[in-house]
Amino acid sequence: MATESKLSHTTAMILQAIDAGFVYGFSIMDMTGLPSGTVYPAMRRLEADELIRSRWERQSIADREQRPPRKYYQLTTAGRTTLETSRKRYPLLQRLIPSREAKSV
Amino acid sequence: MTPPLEFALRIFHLSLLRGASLLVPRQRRSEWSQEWNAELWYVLRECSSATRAFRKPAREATAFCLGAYADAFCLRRQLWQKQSPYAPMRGSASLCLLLLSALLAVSWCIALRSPGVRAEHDLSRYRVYSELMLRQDAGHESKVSPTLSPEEQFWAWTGSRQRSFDDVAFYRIGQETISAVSHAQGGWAVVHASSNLFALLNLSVRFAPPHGKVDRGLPKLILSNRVWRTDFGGNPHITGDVVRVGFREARIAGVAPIGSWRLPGKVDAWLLEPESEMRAGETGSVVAHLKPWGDFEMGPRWAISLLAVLLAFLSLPAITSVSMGEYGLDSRTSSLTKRLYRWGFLSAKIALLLPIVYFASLDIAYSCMSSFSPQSGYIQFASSFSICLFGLRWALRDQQQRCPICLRRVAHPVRVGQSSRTFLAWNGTELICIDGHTLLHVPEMPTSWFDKQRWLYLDPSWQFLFAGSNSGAGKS
Repeated sequence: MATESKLSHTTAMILQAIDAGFVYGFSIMDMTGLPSGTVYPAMRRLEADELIRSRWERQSIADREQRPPRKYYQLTTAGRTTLETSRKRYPLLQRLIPSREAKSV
Repeated sequence: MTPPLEFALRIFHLSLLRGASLLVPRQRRSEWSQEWNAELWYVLRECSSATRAFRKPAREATAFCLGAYADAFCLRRQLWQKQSPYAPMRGSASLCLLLLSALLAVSWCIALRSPGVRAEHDLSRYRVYSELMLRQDAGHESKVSPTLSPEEQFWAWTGSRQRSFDDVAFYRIGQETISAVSHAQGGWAVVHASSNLFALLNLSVRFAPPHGKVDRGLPKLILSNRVWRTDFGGNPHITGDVVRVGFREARIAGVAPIGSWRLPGKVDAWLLEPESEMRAGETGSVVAHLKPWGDFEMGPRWAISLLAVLLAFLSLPAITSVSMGEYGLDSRTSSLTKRLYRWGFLSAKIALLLPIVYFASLDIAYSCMSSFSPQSGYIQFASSFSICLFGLRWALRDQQQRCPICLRRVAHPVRVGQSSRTFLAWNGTELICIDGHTLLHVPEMPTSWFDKQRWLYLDPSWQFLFAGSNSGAGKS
């Protein structure tokens, strides 16, 4: 993990949203209700702290659907560990944004 | 939405993103623009698909684009933190004090270089009596060598309307022989002065004749106490005698008391001549009497600032909360050492602020007004008050946002809760100490159950989040 990881409600919520399958910026905004000026800087910090990583969608897929390619985010191993601990700190987190496993049950 | 309006909005949103992209470090700008443009496309699609009024989607898209500036600043900050060797000091107490010291040094240097401040400093240097000033030419350090000439400065000052002085007198010291005295040691040191010198200096004269009995035809000679005793045997009836001073006659008009002459030079007698008899080409010194400064009597410069500082302290509760918030019970912060550390830091900030207020107000006053101007006192007072008031407000608010354990500023503000649910749930801002000591809760709206900011101390179980930090929560 990076040297200066920070945890706040926002960070935990964004991590939970990404884990729940909301993997690009606008969908995270839509899910959490946070403004763009909060979500994107938080994701930059998470990426700098190596809790999440990003990858660009393939151009061919975007072209086929006649839309611009998206930048997708996913949790790293460190991010997953951090999220697990955050869930203990914020028990309502999973209820607020149900994870994939929880949704499938 | 009509196509032209849609096009105009599209251009507006893209220009907002373009403006934000200029803040992004160059190496990341291209990818950053690509992501935000793509996201904007999805935002606009989402907004247009919703069956809503025109204004709301447009506003949402604009708000989305404005968020790009926060993101751009974040990336810029990250780059700065990577590149700057001083990044670890960011937000620390020592950096704060260092910046204040630098500000103090700058304001002090500006004040030293300001002609107005220097003139006032010179005034105090040459202030030989209260409200009197002795003028010599610049560069002449010797106080006994005459440097000003009557035709150049004295008469020019006397004839012109003076803003600063209401009376001026000229004098020079020369060696003269006196007819009634045997000179074993080569003559007297005689002051040739304008007739108003003694009145201006407010010097008393012993054995002076009553007014009206003075012979107006001859210049007056006033003896020093020493020569009166040694050369005239302490004769109390010497007043009125005529003696020859050099090549001209003068009438003895009295004796100056011991120690009354405090201007430069050792003097045996004073020859008070009418101004019309002063010879061109003579050089000497000018003594000026300062004019009182109108209705608003100005004291020393420091007293003006001191008064403004006192008023600023009294006004402070009107513009900001002076409460430091609830620190709660924690063994790490309630110890005497930690409390002293916190209060010492606040005191140090205020102690540095006060001289900054003084020098900065001098800088402002003299940048607007000339030396000795009465208005400069008003400007100094107003600027001292303003700088001190807002400086104290900053010092308090800065203190309120410093971790009580490490005194580093808390960072990463996060809005929690919704304003509409104030009475149902907590609503406000959370900030965290980046060393992992504390979490600060600041209520958005003071309520009966949460009216002040509160500190939450993070116990060692939080340390995993700050694993690489130098001073984790558990270490302090």
